[in-house]
Parts: sequence; structure tokens; C-alpha cells
Amino acid sequence: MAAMKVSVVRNILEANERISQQNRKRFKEGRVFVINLMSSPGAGKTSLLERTIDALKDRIKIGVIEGDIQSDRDAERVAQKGVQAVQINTDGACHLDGNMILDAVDQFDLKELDLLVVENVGNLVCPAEFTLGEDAKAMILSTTEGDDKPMKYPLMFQESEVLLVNKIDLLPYIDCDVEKIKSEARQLNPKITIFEVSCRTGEGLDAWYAWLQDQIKSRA
Amino acid sequence: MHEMSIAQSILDIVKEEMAKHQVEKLAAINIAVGALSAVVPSSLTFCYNVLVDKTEFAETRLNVRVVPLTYSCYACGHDFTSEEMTFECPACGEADPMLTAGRDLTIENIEVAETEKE
Repeated sequence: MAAMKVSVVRNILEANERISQQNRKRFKEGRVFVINLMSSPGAGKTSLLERTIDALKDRIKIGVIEGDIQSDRDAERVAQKGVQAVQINTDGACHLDGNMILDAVDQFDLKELDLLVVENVGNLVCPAEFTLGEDAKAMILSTTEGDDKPMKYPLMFQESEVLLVNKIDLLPYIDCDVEKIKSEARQLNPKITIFEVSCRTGEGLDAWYAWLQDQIKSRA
Repeated sequence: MHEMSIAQSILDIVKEEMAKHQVEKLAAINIAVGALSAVVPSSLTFCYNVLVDKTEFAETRLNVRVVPLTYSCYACGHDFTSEEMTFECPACGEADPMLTAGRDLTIENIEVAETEKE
């Protein structure tokens, strides 16, 4: 007798999707724009945050959730800028998930915020797979990582609404073809919005600030 | 890198389904993993085996079916699979065919273990 098969057809990540749906509802009620910021370690997530806070904190209320495997260094860096920052330590896990955000969100008064930035664990692979209930995913690729990365890590580029190509001030010293990054990212994701920036010099960041403010305005 | 939590999620869902269908023992769990998903099948099987050791699932196999990148062309309707990401229909040359499968992470079905005859 053939073994009896029971059809299941359930998404393995359904628990995360369910919790993220709860997060999404709370974000909507609080009328806060939530962005999930992802990149490799060292690409410039925290530097971008510091710059963004400096530029916008007089105009909008910003909150930050910091995801790291260990330490509260990033939350400290960001809190020094005068915004509320909550650190999540994943204790080894390679990405944030919806449940971690659900807990962290309790520490904010969402109605007081215009923008909540979730800085994900530095990793170009796993965070792309896990939704948090965010309004938009933004990723950073720094020029020193190389122009071959879109095709090597396609999922991250496909999932992101925004790509920030950081460290363009280093282009005279390295072999990185930014046009190649842009064209391959657009092949993977024709709708992706791309900003070329340097978080060290500040070059190109005005366009990113304008994009953020447009998004916040459209959801307020 | 997150295969352990994926393995645990599989077991959570499977236990729910077993209760729902009043099944006591499984021969196999059949899952589909897309080539584009951030999950490594061999690592997932390894984590699963660690998790189920000395449990009621110790003899339950986890079968992973890898779903290839599958595309459909907007222009000519040609359906095809590809080893790597592709941006051109091999039949008519039209750009940006639609990805129709390859991102899967699904439990397809469970196989009930045959109980010994009385």
C-alpha cells in the first residue's frame, strides 16, 4: 500500500508574515513611515543614519531600532544624536524577524514619530527573506564591496525599493564601476530607486533626504 | 545561516497539521525550496536532523525539492527554467521575463507512516 500523503501547502515563514502583519497595522495606526535598512557589515548603515538624523531631526521626529548580533554600540552612536534608539541583540541570529520588532516597538510612542528606521543585522543575504512589516526596504552597497554584487546577491536587490551606493568618494582609488552596479541592479529590479552617496563627505545625500521626506509626507 | 529557525518553523507547522488530521507518526515531510531563497538545502537537512534527534520525528525524513528559477515571457508566453538569473527570453529575445517560481519556501505535504499490522 502506498503511503498516505496529506496535502499541506503552507508557507514555512507564515508565522513571521503573520507577526509582521501586526507590526504593519500598528505602524499604520501610528502614522509612522518605517524603513528597513540592510547591507553588508561596514557598508555604512549607521553612518547613513547619523547623517540623516543630523539633517532631518529639526523637521521630523525619528526613532531607531538597532539590530546587531552583539553589543549596543550602534544604539549608543545613534542616541548621541538625540533620538530614541532601541537595541536588539539577536545573539547569533543573522537577521531581524517580525517578532523581535514587535517587542522593540513597545518601547516607542509611535504617534510621536514620523520616521522609524530599523537597522538590520549586517548581512547581504538573510534579512532579504524576512519581512518586518516595514513600509520600504532600503539597502546600501558600498563601492569597496565591488561592482559584481547585484548578480551575486540578487534577492536583496530585488526586495529593496531603494539602493544607496555609498563611499563614492573612494572611486578614484578603487576599481569599481558604478554604472555596472546601477544597470545590473535595474535588471534585477526595474523599479529600484538609486542614490549615489558618500556618508563621509555628504555628497549626494540631499536627494536621499528629499526622497525620505516625500515618503513621510505621502503617508502622514 | 537561519536554517535552524526554518527547521523549527517546519516542525511547528507540521505538528499543527498532524493534530488537525489526527496523524500520529510521519514517514516524511516534503518541502519545496526555491533556488532564489536564502536557504541552503543541505544545511537545512542537517539542522532538521539535529532538532529531531531522539524525538517522535527521529524517523521522519525531510525531503527537499529544489524549485528552479522558472520564467514566463510576457511577449511570446514561452515558459522556461534557468540555472541562473536571466533577463531575456531564449525563444523571442524579449527583455525581462517574469519570474514565476524559484522563491518558494513551502511545506507541500506530509506522508503518514504505515503502522504495523495487528
